[in-house]
Amino acid sequence: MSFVNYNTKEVNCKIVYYGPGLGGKTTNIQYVYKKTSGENKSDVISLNTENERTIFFDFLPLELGEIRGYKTRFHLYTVPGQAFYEASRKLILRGVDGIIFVADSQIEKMDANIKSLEALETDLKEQGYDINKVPIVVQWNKRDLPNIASIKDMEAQLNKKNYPSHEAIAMEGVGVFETLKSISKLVLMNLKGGLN
Amino acid sequence: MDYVDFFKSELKSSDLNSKIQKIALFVIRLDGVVLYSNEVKPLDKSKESIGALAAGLWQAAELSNNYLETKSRDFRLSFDTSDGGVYLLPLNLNGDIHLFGAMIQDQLNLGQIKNLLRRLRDKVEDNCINKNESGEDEYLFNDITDEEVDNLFSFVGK
Repeated sequence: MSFVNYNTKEVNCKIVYYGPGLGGKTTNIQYVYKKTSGENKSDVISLNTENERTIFFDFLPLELGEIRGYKTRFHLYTVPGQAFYEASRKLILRGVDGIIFVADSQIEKMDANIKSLEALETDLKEQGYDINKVPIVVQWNKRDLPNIASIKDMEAQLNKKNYPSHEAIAMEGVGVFETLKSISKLVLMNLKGGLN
Repeated sequence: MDYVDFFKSELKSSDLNSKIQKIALFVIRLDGVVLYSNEVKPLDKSKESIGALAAGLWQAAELSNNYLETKSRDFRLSFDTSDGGVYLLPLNLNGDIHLFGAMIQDQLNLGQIKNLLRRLRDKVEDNCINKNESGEDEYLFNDITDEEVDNLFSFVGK
């Protein structure tokens, strides 16, 4: 849940990268970290296994500029994509303001994408959210690989609700910030409330 | 009195005050957002990360404990050695559960420090009000333009 402080004119929002294992969630955050500079740069916190599979979450606090007089800070999280970490994955959704669903474009990963999308709906429901009310954008990642589904197929199978979608090659940074900006706009426009 | 002001005044008069340079204190929401920190190292540079980690730690511990069906609700969470570490306590502010945390270094009597922290937490719960965090129901921003979003990300390096 976003935190708006009218006294200090600050906005804090939580964005979660969700999706199947090895789909590119962590790669997205690592690219964002790589490209931030100067005062805005904070470390990425990664809780992962020896072979860099996320075990609990990655976290990157991102201090953005000001919008209409409000200092804006986004907290970026990823969830572990492997089904094994289902219990801890749900915890990361607590307080979420926006979700980036990172889908793996490879044809053989379509089932995993679908299962992950179903899990997202279930996990949100368990945390008391209605998926229809949470800002979501989808990212079709790994568009550079040879055996990928067409965008038309990705949209048909995974985007029945017509979320804003973006093609990406996260390893090269293609589409990473486009996706992040897209969810940022939705999250900011969805912000309500604050301290009096 | 709100809890931030209360913390500051209580800390001044508390036995913790003499040790405060080695005890980083913070209050966070359960989603990791930091509401208060005394800016003692390492909070001066890494408070968002510490907030996120502490919240994750607490939630994971709480979820694990649910398998035990423990009736007591007075939990505390420690990760420490004999002279320091991380200590987390739930902080109930008018029904809203937050976390009160401490990162402790170089203390001779860690048990005493934890006791003082619990007493401070209890005093805060008994004496403070929580600021109303959900004051208004209107959208904060209307019609954000793409240019405004691009400006937010203007720090991005090429």
